[in-house]
Amino acid sequence: MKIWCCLCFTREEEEEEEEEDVDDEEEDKELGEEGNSEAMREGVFGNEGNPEGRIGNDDDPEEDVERLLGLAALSPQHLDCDDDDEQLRLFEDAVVAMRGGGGVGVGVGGGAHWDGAARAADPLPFLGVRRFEGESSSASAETAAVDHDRDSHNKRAKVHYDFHEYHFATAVFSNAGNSSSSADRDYHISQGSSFPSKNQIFYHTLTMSDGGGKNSSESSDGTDDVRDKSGSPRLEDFEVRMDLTDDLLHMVFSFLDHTALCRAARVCRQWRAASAHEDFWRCLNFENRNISVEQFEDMCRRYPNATEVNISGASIHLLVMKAVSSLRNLEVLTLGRGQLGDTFFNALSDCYLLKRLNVNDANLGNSIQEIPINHDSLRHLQLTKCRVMRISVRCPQLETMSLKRSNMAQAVLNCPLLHELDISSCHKLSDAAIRSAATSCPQLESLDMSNCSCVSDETLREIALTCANLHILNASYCPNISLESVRLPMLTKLQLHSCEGITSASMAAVSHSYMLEVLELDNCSLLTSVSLDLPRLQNIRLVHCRKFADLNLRSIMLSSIMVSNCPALHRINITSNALQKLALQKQESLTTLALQCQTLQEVDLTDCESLTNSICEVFSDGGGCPMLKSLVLDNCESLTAVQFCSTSLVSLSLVGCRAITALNLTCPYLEQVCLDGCDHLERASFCPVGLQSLNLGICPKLNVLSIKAPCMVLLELKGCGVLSEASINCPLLTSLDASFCSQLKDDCLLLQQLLHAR
Amino acid sequence: MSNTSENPNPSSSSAKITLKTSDNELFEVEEAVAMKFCTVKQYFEDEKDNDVAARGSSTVIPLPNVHSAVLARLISYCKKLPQSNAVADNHEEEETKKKERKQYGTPGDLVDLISAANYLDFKEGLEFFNQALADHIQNKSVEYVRKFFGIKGDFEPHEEEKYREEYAWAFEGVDED
Repeated sequence: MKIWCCLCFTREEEEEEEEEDVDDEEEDKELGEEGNSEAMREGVFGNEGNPEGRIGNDDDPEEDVERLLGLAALSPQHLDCDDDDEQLRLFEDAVVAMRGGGGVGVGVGGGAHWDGAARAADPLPFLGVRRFEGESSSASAETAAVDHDRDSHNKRAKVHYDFHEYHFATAVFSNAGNSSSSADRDYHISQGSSFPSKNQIFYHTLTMSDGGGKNSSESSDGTDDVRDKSGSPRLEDFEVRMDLTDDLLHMVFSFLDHTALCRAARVCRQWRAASAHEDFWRCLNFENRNISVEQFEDMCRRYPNATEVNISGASIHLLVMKAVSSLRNLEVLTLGRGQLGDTFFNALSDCYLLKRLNVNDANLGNSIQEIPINHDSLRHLQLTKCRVMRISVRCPQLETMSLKRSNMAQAVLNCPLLHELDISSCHKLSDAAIRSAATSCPQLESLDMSNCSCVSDETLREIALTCANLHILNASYCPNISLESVRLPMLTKLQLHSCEGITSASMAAVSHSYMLEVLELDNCSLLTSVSLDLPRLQNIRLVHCRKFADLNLRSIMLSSIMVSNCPALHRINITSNALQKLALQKQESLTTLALQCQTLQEVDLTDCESLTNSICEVFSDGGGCPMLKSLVLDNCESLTAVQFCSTSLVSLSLVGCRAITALNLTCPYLEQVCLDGCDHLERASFCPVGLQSLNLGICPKLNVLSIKAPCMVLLELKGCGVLSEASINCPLLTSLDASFCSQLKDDCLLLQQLLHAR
Repeated sequence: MSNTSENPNPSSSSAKITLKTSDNELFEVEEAVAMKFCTVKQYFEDEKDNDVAARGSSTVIPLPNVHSAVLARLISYCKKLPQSNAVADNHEEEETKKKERKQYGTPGDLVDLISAANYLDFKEGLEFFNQALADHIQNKSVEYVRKFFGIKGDFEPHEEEKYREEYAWAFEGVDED
């Protein structure tokens, strides 16, 4: 099976570099087979004597036994044969024989491929004999193939190809037997979709002998007792399973980390070989591992093609110098927790493939010198939490850089392509240093300068001028900025958390960023009002803004508003075509709410204690929320008379609205209403509503009730002791509990339908 | 086992495909299930393209490398797969998956399942069973692994010692169970 796979591989990839004799032989054989089947096809078409086939078959006098397999059985006969039909018949016989071969000659190894009863045919004994001879020589072939196979990444292809081609082979040849015209057509199809299919049969013969070879070579491994189960024939089992063993181990090992691999390597020789595969060691990750320089050197020698190294600890300098000098393909280097001397940074350019350098929590240099980072192809640089005096970065290809939490006082950048810069929490960077660093990157799209407490408006203006492409700016915790005269027209995301300098005047600058999509103003304690008309704004946050009083937003794209803990907020006016959900919980000062939101479906105004009755107009038809389905006004204790007239409302909650005395709902689709705690409700009208059940027993002061509910089935008035007037028009009502309603007189009830139903 | 319909609700109208295992058992499975096996899918599609006459419900797809016992388990696993490919990567999910993987018992069974899944090119299954087997290696002692997989150590003591030295970094502070 391995060899066969190897064949496929060589065919498909045209690998030229095989040096093993066996592989050469394989190559020859493959040619031979190709030529042979070529000839066979000619035969089908009626053109015989294709010399290619003959050459392919005969050119190597020292044919390996394996090579002869199948070929020898078939090709000489058919090539020498004058009669086309005879050829076909012979060939078909061969096919049939091989399909049925499971029972006879091939019976043990590859038997699994060929089910069905054995049908006697001429070439079969030939095959059988060859097969057994092949066993001895196949061991070496197999090892070569295995080695070769390891190098291919195509670990999984083999077995199912087998299936595929098997199918083709039968299709082609059986049709050929029926009529030559159909054979013609089929041939083209099969060639188009699966070229090697013609030779497939021969591959199968190889497969079998390899299976045998592998059996004998591996049964000593000790793995057999695991596999031998369920009383099925041992050899057959082996054929399939043993074949997959190395492959299977490879697949399973790909789920293991380094330490588990090393432990697996101690299990047995086979596992050790499998665990040592280069695939698993592309990334040499020794993070938090105590590896000595010798051991590390050893690993570098063993896996010179490793592309990633991750090391940490006190000896990183020595280790990384080894890595830099011996791993030529290094692309990603991650270092942490240690001391890196300037020699490392000088040697960095030797790793000419390096794409990414991450250094975290390290001392760079001797803390007085400038650290130069010069590299021609570096794309990503991270120097986070590093202790260093000054750095100078000259990387023409650099795209992203983070200096987060490092304490350099100066950063000189020469990175014309840089588009993402993170200097957050670089406390020692002065305003001037930040200005010169950022303005030296004209392509900058994203800048994070949060917690750089000294940034000034002047610096922001400079940056805005040089970096015309700036999309994302995080200037949170920069107390000195007010955005005065700062113009950032390309900005899409602006984060200004906890900026003491941001006031309502700053919104004038923000309003010039008409591409803005995200605006975060949390904890801006001096901000009093926000009035913005930004067509693309989607997301706004205003949390814990102590003095914030007035919000006025006009943005058709607005889809998310996060406003909370703004104790002074009393007026909100929102116009949006994308907002679906609005939650303004516990805005205790909120008195005025105006919404023009075509898609708004859910509103939650829980604990907005100052909301007055006028809120009802907002959520009634014509109030600006035509799609509103769910409304929560829990604990809005200033509401006294609630009147909703809505054709969209489905669910309404007025839990704990203790001041409500009158409720008037004209909501034909209302299915759910919660009135728990509406203790003072006196007059209630539900005309009409879509409710199916309603409990008003929780409203002890209910006096006048009017219900028109075409779907209502269950109505409970139990305990409405002062209810004196009730008009109930519920055609489907089946249950009415009016016990303890002493004031209720029969003539008050419009219960015809109900009585009817009874 | 012959002619077993693996489908518990025959009311579903989806087409059936018959698979024939190495021990000549026939399995009738829903097309949706069978199409998870790329090898079968490939065969089926080629069949459609190439052999118009032989097409039809009577097509039996031979799986000469798969034993019936293994196929039955693969099919039942296949049916348990969630329909949606929603990737829930939270911790709880991972834990339940781990438990689920533990159900698939002995290494021999898993090796069979992996071989079959590989042959059938059944990607989800292959990954699942590989991971299940890897679970029995990860964080386990060498002795446990040898016992579990029934492998005898074939190293000379000095080889063992040498490896331990070379890879000492991997063996410190590791909890095995």
